[in-house]
Amino acid sequence: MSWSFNALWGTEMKRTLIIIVILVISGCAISQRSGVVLYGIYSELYASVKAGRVEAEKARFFSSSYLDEVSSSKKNASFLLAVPRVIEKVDSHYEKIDGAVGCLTVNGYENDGQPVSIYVEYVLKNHEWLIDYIYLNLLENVSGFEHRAICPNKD
Amino acid sequence: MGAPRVEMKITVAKLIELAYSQNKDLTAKIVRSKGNFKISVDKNGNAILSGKAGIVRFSGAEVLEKMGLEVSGVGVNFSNAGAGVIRYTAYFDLKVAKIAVHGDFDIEKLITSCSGFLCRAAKALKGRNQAYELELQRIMGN
Repeated sequence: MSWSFNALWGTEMKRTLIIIVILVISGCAISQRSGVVLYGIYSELYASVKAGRVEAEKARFFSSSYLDEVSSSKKNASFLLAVPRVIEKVDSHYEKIDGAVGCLTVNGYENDGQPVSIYVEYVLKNHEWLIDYIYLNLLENVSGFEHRAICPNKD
Repeated sequence: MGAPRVEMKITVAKLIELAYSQNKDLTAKIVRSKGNFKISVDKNGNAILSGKAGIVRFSGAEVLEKMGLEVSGVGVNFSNAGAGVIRYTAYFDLKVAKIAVHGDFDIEKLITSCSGFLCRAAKALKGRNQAYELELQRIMGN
């Protein structure tokens, strides 16, 4: 009787553990999916800049008004297209979406270890999230990291 | 790609020294006063240093032109942190983007009369001077 109890208990334990693992994995997947829409697009831009493809792919990432400014300012063009590359190592990111406007905060470090935050405003155009404004905050220390999505102040 | 952090800090120092070369006494009064003060520069380079002690108008066009980025405006807010330390946040407007940089410096190092770096800096302003750039960088922080 004892062997069958142990076998049964072991089976029940395994089943419970499997259910817990499934719940944890699916829970993580759901929370990440709902919180990384903009950061996912931002990461694609980062990869595009890093691979040297951003000039050819810029229409995928930036609004027409942003790209108008890129075209009119030769001195700023390469910088404006490559702002995400300022952050060498990402610390944290936060985002929020309100209708057709989305705001993303990315905290991280430059290649020399200095802290920096990027606040990005996205606009939804033809079902695509496009960067419309970027605020680059070059910080003195990590206490300046904002742990929430900041919509950049354009004034 | 690194951010133009050092260049922007040096630009803040250059703007102070331009105000100083325009009106030494009033600039010294403004930056030594206990209250906050600010510098604003428009897209044409028209610059104003303003504080409780008064206003100094000067041209910041040359400084903006020498920057690696095309800046359509600059705003710097200074606050006195006590013991001669001035904290600042500077905003550089790129129309579709803005860059903010923060720092602090010892005001007396900037205003120790003409034996200090300000007069040498003013003289060196027309041409690039490596020693001058390094001194500004040291004072304004890396």
